[in-house]
Amino acid sequence: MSYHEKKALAGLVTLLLVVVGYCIYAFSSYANGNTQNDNIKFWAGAILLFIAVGVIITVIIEIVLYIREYLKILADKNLSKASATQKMKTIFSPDEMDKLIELKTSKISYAFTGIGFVSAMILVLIGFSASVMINIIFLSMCVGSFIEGIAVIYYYKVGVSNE
Amino acid sequence: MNKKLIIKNKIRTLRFFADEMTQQELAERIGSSRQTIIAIESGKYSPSLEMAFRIADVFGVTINEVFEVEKSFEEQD
Repeated sequence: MSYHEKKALAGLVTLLLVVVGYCIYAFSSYANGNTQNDNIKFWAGAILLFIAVGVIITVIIEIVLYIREYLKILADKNLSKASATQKMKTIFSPDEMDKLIELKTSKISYAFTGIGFVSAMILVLIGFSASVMINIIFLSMCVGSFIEGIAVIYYYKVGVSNE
Repeated sequence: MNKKLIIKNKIRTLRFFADEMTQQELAERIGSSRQTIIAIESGKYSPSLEMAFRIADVFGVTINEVFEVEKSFEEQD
């Protein structure tokens, strides 16, 4: 499994943890009656908290993956630090295939987020509360990112065409 | 009606005749990743014209000697 696949997989696991954590937090708060009628501040705070947690976990995982890859290169090839750093640059700087995969998968993510946003607006128009809107927007972003991660792994495994 | 092209390559053979050049070495020489070379070799990814020229340049051959169209079939729009 290449570095990019590992990164996408780590992103998927992080996202899953964030969504599960958010759902537990949201449902338990709801069950305990902490979310007063349409308390938008509560939901905004909860979502921002879990986005921050997700970002921190992602940064930590990327640092760990970077160090692991660096040590692997040093151990496998018995290279000097300068050559290992050069090899790391080759691995980490995206080439044309990486960029094509990123372009294709980000389209999928944008599509899901867009559909979620429009659905949320429609639900508000037909009488649902603002907390439903904010939750649908957040969850559609999460679903979009999740499918993007799966698509990244799929394209690296199966291949990607320019069409 | 478009023609779908199946592009084959001889990178593996060319690497063999270039003192068994590794995929990593080829990747470094064309400024790409090993993952991309693996994908090109196995036909999972068709490189851009620029990258194709770079690969041909590494082996000192023409682009036609690296890539060839094996067959094409009609594809409906």
